[in-house]
Amino acid sequence: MEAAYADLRARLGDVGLMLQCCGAPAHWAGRREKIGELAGTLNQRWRELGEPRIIAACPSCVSMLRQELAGAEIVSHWTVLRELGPPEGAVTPQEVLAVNDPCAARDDRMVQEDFRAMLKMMGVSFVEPELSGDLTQCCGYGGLLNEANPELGKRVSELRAGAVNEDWVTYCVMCRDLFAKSGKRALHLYDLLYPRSDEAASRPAPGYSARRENRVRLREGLLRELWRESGEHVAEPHETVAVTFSDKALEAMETRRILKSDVQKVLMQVRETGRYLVNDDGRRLASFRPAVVTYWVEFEQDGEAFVVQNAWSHRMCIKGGQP
Amino acid sequence: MSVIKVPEADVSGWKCAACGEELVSMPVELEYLESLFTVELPACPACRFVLIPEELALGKMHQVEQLLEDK
Amino acid sequence: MNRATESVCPVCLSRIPARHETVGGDTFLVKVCPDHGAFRAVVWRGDPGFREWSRPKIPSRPGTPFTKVEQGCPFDCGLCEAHRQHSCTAVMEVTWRCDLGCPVCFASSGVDAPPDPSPEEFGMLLDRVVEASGYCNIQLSGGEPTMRDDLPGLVRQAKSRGFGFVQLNTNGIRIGREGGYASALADAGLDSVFLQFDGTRDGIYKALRGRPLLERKLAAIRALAEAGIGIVLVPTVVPGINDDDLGAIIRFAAENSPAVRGVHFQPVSYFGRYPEPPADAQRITLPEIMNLLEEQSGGVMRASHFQPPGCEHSHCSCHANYVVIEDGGLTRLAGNGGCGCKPRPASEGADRAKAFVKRQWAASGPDLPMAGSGDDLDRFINRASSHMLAVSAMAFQDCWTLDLERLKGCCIHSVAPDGRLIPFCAYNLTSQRGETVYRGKCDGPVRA
Repeated sequence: MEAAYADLRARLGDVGLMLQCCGAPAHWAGRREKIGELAGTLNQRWRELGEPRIIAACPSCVSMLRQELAGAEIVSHWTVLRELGPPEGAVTPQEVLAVNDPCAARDDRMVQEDFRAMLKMMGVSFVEPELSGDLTQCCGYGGLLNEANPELGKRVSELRAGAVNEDWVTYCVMCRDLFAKSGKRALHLYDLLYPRSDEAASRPAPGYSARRENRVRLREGLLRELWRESGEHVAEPHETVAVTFSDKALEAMETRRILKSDVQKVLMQVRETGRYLVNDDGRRLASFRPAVVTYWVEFEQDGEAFVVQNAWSHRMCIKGGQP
Repeated sequence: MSVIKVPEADVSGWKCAACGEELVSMPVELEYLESLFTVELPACPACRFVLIPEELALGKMHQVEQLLEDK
Repeated sequence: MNRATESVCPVCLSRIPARHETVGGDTFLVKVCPDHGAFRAVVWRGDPGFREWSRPKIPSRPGTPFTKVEQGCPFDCGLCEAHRQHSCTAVMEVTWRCDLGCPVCFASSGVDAPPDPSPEEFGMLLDRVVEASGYCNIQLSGGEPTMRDDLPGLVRQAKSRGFGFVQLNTNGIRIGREGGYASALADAGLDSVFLQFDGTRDGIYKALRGRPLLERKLAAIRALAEAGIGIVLVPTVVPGINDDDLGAIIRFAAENSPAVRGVHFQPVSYFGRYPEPPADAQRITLPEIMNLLEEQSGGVMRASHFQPPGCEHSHCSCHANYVVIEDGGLTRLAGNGGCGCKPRPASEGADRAKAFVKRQWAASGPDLPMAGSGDDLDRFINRASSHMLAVSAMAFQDCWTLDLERLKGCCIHSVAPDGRLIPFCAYNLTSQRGETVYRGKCDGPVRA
């Protein structure tokens, strides 16, 4: 992401960066009022910036922004790169890849073509899956399927991921990560354009907490190193809680949609109030309800450091003085 | 409301760290979407810190949540 | 605010443009026939508003459309290839005889009724249903189906051909009167009875059905409960007759849970011959029913509990589900409160949870925990699987209120004697003079 932005600045000159959700998840969840709010903020910021042309890499962002920002020209990053050519340092894998169009690109012939044109320009050999282009198949994330019905989402992911023998190459990060999650080798086009590792295709999906943290770090890094603005991000108190996780805890958190920051909030509560349960066998257990969900964390404590063994949650509220 | 339906292994041996008390079974109110349920759960007799075991949260409580959220 | 659609002229039944006109919260269907003038009928009064009450759906085509589009809706029914919804329920009229002669009936029932379809013909019609729509729900209707002595045989036939859900639409008179009849139907595999039940007072039956029937309804409910057949109470709601009794009907249903599984209100519609168009005061609309239920249940039910349907057109119905708790109160099973939009803990989807609940109930059937054992959560989970009460209302359309957009999205299809499937409101459509489009004009034999 940083490399892509640096490349655009180097080759186009004045390019700003807006780090904000396009609203697709809220749209898929049917939360119209949230979309309205978001569209309001986006419109305002866009006007403050002098109504610039907007470049977006994710096809869902492109399609959402086109609906939300009346009068704005939204251009796909792949269209821009097709004009500019691949950046220096782009790599071409030896093996043949299979192209995957994301759902939001279904009716966008231009972006479908631009993506393929980029691959050809780079000399990448690729094949088309049986369902492609306007008929492309869901990766399991579209419409929040994976959140609303995780088991069905998993089946859909596995179905799509397994539809080809080759490694996938796609231009949507959710497609890429869901394929990876189902054990299939998959690349995002950025992995070839702005390579960071030789084994990008087998990079595991980051998971909810890490993806969130990556976003925070990206912003912090850019503020510090690029824009020379300091002290922007003041860490929330709970973010200072040092914590490590067992494999079991990480897996439970991922399937139960519990974030590292949720766990940290529980543990900060422990640190501040000393209220938790302790078992004869050394395990400790605490709960906290930051908003509407009560989180439970089973942990061990070694001085200031917490080692989390398990976590679960419920939405029913315990009446009385439960933290 | 009477017996708690959670395996002993899940609830035995827990003490409240703040009060030093063994947990005892007591009636606890659980609320969700305008419905109120009274359930016997292990809790600290002094500060009423309640234990919701993993199995209860992911089992019965989750079922009730989903029933009340039913479309 | 206007919304354009199409309708028919109540006099000549020609297709004419129509629009919905909303004035001060009330919505009217307004149309002009070049030959017969202007017509205006109320279709929606009050909140939730006509326009808010929608649930977008992706059209689903009938499995096998039997007819082509030639003259346009509503004259090509069969279903035609332009129909926008598959069949959820196939309504099969197994007789046209009846032991009541109700002023409000839309199914013709008279002394000169045509002969009943034979079991063989009935079987051929079932084949047509499978071909058109697969194994959808079957509702046996009439006339009064219990006039047929071989009714249990027809039920058995439908079940043995693989239809999973077979329901009987009846006035309940024979079921209440004849010992052993309900259990004969149960043995044949009948799943559910749609019991005509207009209210909790005899005056209502005298006005609507011409005679006091409450005792007979109660007898039918006792017999069905005994036989283990689920009951849905079906009141026809008529302004000034029983619109003050809706709350009492719900209380009655709750008291008779779990034998009574649901209440399905049907606002009166006007089929047959009418010298003058019915006045708006003679109509009651879905939001009025939702609001009357809120008033008459002392706020236990709320208009906001109701949701638009997922299957038929939004403006055709509304529904809300409740659990009848031990003291007879109702707990809503619906999730608009709080923030159900956030991702849920992932261990199980709703369907699996429900399946689990059913299994658990079935397994513990013979030695159900005595009162006092199990906790509140167990009891609620058990009650939700055993004592659910589904409350719904469905607005049929007559020649004054017919909106062809709604008709195209209809999922309740009458099976005509010639084997065509025809949306319920089209099948029963009559002009102001009583002329039909389909009923009596597709008498068979069954066309392959």
